[in-house]
Amino acid sequence: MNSLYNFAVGPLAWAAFIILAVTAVWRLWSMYNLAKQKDASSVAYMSWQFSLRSIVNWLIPYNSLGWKTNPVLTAVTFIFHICFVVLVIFVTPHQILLENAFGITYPTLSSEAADVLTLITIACCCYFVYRRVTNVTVRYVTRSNDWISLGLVAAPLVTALLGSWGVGGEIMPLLHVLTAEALIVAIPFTRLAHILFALFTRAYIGSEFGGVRHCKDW
Amino acid sequence: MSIQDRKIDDEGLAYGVSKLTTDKIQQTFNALINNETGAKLKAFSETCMRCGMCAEACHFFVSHGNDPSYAPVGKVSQTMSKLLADNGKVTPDDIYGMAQIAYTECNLCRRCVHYCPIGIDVAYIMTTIRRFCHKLGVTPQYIQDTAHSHSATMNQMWVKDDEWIDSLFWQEDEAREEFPGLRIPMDKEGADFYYSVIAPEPKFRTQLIYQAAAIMNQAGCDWTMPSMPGWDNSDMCMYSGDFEMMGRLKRQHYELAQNLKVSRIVMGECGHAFRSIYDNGNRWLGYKDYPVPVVHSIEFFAELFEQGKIKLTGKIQEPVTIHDPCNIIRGYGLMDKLRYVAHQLCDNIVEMYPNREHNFCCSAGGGVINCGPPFKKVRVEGNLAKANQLKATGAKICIAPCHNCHGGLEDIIHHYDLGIELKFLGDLIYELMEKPE
Amino acid sequence: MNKVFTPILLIFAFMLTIPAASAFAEGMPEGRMNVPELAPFKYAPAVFDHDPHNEKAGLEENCIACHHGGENGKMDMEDDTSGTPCVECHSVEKQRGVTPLRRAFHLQCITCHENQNKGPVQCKSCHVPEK
Repeated sequence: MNSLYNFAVGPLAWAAFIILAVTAVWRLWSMYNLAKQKDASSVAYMSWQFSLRSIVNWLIPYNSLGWKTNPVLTAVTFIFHICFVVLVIFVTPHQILLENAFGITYPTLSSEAADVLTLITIACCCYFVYRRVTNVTVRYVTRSNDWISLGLVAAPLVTALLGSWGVGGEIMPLLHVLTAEALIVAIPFTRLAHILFALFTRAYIGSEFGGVRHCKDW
Repeated sequence: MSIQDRKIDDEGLAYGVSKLTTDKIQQTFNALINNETGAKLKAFSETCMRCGMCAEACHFFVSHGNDPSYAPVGKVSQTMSKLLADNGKVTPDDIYGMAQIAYTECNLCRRCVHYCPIGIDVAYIMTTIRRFCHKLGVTPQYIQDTAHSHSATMNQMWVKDDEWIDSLFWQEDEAREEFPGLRIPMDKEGADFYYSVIAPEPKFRTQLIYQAAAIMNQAGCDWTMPSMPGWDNSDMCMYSGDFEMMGRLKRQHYELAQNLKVSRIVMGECGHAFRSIYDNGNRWLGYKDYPVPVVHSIEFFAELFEQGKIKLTGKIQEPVTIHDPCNIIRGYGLMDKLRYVAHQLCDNIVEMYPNREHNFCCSAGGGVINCGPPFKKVRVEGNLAKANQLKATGAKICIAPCHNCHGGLEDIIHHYDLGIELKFLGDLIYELMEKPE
Repeated sequence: MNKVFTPILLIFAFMLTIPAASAFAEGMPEGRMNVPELAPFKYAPAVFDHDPHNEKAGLEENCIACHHGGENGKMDMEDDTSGTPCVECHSVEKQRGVTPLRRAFHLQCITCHENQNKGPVQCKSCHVPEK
């Protein structure tokens, strides 16, 4: 049990991060080369100004037509992404792992705050599940890989919360680490690849709308 | 809730599909993916989170009681996603449905881009499906006929060279009764601009050429109209998926300006032709920008008003609303110029909402109206959204500076009995401008 | 749908049956670390009873395993510093050539536990919340 845990937070964690780094760079690099080779007539219009304009405007809640039309989903989407990133960086155990390994220190959340944020994030996942099942359009286009991505994201959250509540004893931290590592490795190969590509697709369409279409894309 | 439940008989689609085998489909698909598409399609298909936010953007979805198979993501899921998932191994029957979706249930209007957080361009995906269907030889009969006409005559409507010249002479002749000194200068080298129209103008709406000549004449423009092929700026090949032909058409259009040594091209009030100039055709030819300056009528009229070249006898007093055509507004950002010109002509403009780059499509564009009578019902019933928008303004007149929009809105106005009169900007300018006694 | 959810639910149901208090069964020590310099605390001070721990770990004769010496960022495993408070060398704040106090404690405990393949792994198994 202990050796398994030590393996999971040691070599396995290194492996997960290295696999992510290598595959993410490989995916971005091959995508970039493919774009240069096959989509030159689109790449030609890429512009920093219009890319940033589009990204910034879509980062403002309820600014775009899409966000305005889907008010609940918009709230849940923003809360989910913000909470997820805050949790990954600012929960105390993660910082302590970084401190032990690399001596990195920074302010962190109290464990009560972390529990609340985790609960909120899990609630967001529940809303995503609810919407996938009840919204006719979303159900129509949902395939198994949508469920896999959602499950991959929810699993580390649930195991973290149960661990914090002391449920399952010492097995829960192990499950948390393993599910998180599964999530990390899966990023470049599942729908979670939007973490890598969404900024670039946004930048591209922003450049198109700014440079070719002379109008806003939000 | 699937294209399989609403297939419409079309000679072109049926004939094309009858010659297909699954092997041929798969080969063609692999060739398309390996040779023509790239990172755009890959990134779009991989990053789409299937959130369904785009559904509300589409007039087909909204007007068909929120049927998910009409949602942009629903259409992608029935076509490109299915092809990618099955590696192109689909049945000829599937291709029939895919062609029907791509050609007749999506106007390529790009309204859904405003709804997608990731910035997925569904119009591009649907265009790629059309390209695929074109390569398979599965195209609706009517639009294919226009594409055939393009490749045989370099214009959309089988207008013969002499008929074109005759039409210009005829309109010049008619107009000289009202404007005694009027000319339609033909092939005048070194003029300021040449004026290009779409082939349906000489074919069905010849009075538009009359009106344009009248406006140019009164404004004292140094202009010309070409006698040679290339005069037609329309481009149905762009929509049928025949990109090779699209490129030929656009090259001819640009080069005509160079042959005539004019400094620019002014295009009539058409949307798709403009799209083929600034968006699709130029890219196929490898031009980032036009090789010759091209100006849409909206820009041109705005210029005439700014320079005080058109004098009006009065303005329209009735409530007038403005329809924003996707290919020149969401496509090229001419909404402010359109409003500037409209306000010069009308005192009482009632905006319809959503407007400007958020406007609902007319449901005729993107080659959908060109797929002909078999698909008219889907298109008209698929745009209850536009009918409601128009009705809510209470306007008696609607300005629509685009031929396709005219066709589409006319059908909608009749079907929903809205009693609204459609006008081009040119119609209103001609009606209101000072004429010789 | 059910194909996805049933196994997930079963896994969690199984976890709930694992005795939550397995770590407490072996008789947790009563005492806690007393290092007021590290206040304020996000987690309760770690439970640690010096003598019973060392007896169990077989460290009675080997004070230097924890109470090492050192200079200029180098550990000296020959120099027994028993009796010197850790904070005298390991400052609370970061300094050049010094492992800060909290990191020093964590590394001291966790590294040894990892090497021995023993002891708890959860934060709250050492930092047991105070009742």
